[in-house]
Amino acid sequence: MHIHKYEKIWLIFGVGSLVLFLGVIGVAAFAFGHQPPSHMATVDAENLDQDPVFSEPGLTKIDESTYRATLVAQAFGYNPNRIEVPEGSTVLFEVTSADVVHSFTIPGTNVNFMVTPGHVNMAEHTFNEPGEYLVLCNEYCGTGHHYMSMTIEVVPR
Amino acid sequence: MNITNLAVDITQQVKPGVDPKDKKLTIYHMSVAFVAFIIGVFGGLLQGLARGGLIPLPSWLGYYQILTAHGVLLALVFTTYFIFGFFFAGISYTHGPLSKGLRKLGWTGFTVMSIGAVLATIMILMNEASVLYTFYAPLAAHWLFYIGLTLFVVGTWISSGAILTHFYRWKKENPGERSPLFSFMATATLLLWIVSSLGAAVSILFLILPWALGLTDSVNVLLTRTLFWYFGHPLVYFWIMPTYMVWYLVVPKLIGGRLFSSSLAKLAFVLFLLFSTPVGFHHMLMESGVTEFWKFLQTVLTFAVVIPSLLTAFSIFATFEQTGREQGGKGLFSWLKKLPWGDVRFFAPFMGMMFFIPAGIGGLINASFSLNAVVHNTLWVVGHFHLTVGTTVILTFFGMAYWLLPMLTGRRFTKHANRCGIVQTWLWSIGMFLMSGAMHILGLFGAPRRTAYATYQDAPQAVAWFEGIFASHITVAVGGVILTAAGVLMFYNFIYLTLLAPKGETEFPMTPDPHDMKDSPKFLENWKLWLLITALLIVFAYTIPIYDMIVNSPPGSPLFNNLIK
Amino acid sequence: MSEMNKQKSKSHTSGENHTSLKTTLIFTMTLGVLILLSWFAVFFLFLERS
Ligand code: HEM
Ligand SMILES: [Cu+2]
Ligand SMILES: [Cu+2]
Repeated sequence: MHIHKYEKIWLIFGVGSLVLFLGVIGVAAFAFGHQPPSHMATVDAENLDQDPVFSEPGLTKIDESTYRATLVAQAFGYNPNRIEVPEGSTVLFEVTSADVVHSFTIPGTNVNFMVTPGHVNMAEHTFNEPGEYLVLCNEYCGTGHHYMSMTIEVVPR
Repeated sequence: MNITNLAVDITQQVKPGVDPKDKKLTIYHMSVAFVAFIIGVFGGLLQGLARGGLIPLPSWLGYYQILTAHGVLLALVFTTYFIFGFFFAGISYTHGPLSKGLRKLGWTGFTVMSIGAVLATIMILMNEASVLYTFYAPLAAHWLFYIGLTLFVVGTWISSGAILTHFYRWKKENPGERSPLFSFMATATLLLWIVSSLGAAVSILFLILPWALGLTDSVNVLLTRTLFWYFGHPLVYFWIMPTYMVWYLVVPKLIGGRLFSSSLAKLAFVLFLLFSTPVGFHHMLMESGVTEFWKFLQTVLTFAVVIPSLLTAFSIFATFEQTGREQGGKGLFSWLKKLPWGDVRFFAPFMGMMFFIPAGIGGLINASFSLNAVVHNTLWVVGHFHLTVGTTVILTFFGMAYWLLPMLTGRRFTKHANRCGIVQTWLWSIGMFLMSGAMHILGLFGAPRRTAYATYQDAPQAVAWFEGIFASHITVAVGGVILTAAGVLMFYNFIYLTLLAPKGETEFPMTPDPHDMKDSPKFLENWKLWLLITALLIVFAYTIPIYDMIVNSPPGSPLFNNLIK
Repeated sequence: MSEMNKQKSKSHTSGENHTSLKTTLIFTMTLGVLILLSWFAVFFLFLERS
């Protein structure tokens, strides 16, 4: 199989770029923790009211600047549908669904993950700018899908 | 000219072309494809206008109902019928008429597919199936919708059987000969289709259908999603491979040149077969229940399937340059003038190639593991696949339609048709530039896909998506209007070329196989080997995560059919 | 037929390497640079947002 000299150059360059990309995201993920949300915990979606965590969803303070937000997504909203944290807080979101597949997405951030019934998914974000953050569902979940949203109020310290 | 040369030319000239009975089978496929296309296009128009807040939808027509129809009719029905039509014509051209039995099998496949497609469409129109073309559980459609999808897939298997058998018979009669490129590539494409659609079939038949019928009372949601994307990614290569076939086999002929390496072309198609399937997790990167390790492994395999596209980019451009220079073109760029820019059969696929540059880059970004968080389920993704399937594939298919349709109906590809084609190509390109360009940027700002008109109680961020100068839902709608005009023009071209154009002859512009054909390595033709490696890769990439999904699954989900009406 | 012959004799004389593929090299390299730039643009957007 004969390969033209220029084609070899191109393939080395092209495959080299692919390897570079894989290297960058691999190092970012496995050395610096920029992993895609891949939580493995499961729950009983039909009996969330008996679940130790999701029976009472809401915000809990872990320390001065760290919060844990447990939320339940359900057609077509989130429970709770509003949370408030001070500027500079890091929030760990733990979300599950009570019915179909939804997403938990804060536009303009990297918080954007699927919420599958029976599974818990997680992401963390530090809110450095005060203001109202929109959370929306970007996985089609039924006729009211485009109404599904909540807000995160980040108040100045 | 010497005698042997003359002999070769005569045999080439008396080559029978496509048998009339096989032409009929193809024209039926094409007709269904174009009807699905035009309905789908109007769906797209309504979506663009409705999302932009420019029109309200009537109460009897839901946004998600239209979106389901748009996805099913364009991404599944249009593409599949077009591809099978192309394959039936091409295999008959390459290896002679189908036998009576195989042709009957082809018609059976067509019929079963069509019953399925019509059934699924009816269920969508009755608003019993607004689950989108991905039919993610536990949203549930009427069970007849799933029956329709099943029949559709079974029909494609029957048709694949007819095409593959025709090729197999030729192979048996010509032991030791290298397969013509057309049949080689069609075989790789169909094998990929069969291997991958098995996943969708398993999901529907064993998980979703029993659940939708009430025979089981819950379904493993994550497993159905995994099986869908086991099918869903190869599906896009099922569109891309025939597109590349036109680039490799037809475009060189149209520009008056020829392909110069058959080995590399064959290698590219083998790589597609091997690496297209074990990569479905790149659609589930943001999902719980699959570990980072398996996601990363499939990301690596996803990047491997980029390599045949790198090969293709070089081969095609080199064919252009070689041909331009052979025709006397000089300099770094002035040879480009030698290409037949005025011929839409070349120009439409060429524009498709140009759009594949941003499309391919977008795809690399989507598949890049944690980077996917930036774009997942945003309009960026919609912009991306309107470039890939919605422009690259479709413009190449249109480029094919300009010669295939008149060839099938015994008509001539006229100047008029060519002119309409050029206008069509420009309109489609401009419309898509606006629509897809705006979608990409809106997506980076976080605007969601698959979402009707929404401002989320006038949240400032969401309102901004309507107010950008270019990055706005309004630009999407404007692009959609231009695209619709282009779509209507294409439908006219279809009617003209099948029913109105003057009678005459149109050739099948297939490039002769390259000179290195005889030296192309024998092992490339070893389909058993390739299927074995394909299977091993699939087993390697999927066994442990799927086992985990079944063994550690949470309680299954009941039916949610109330949420879609 | 003459058309066909013309093509044939042309491709006979032009084995690979006889014609220059300079522009192809430039095209593919430009494509490569474009890929790198776009990918890193989104990568930095990702870093900036996290
Ligand atoms: C007139 C031309 C077209 C217009 C105006 C158009 C418009 C749109 C719009 C606005 C959406 C997204 C809506 C949303 O996510 O909320 C969409 C989705 C889609 N389009 Fe198109 N489109 C056109 C042509 C095509 C073509 C030719 C194809 C494929 C061959 C295609 C395939 C799809 C698919 C697969 C989806 C996704 C459906 C889903 O999310 O379930 N479109 N289209
Ligand atoms: Cu939702
Ligand atoms: Cu994919």
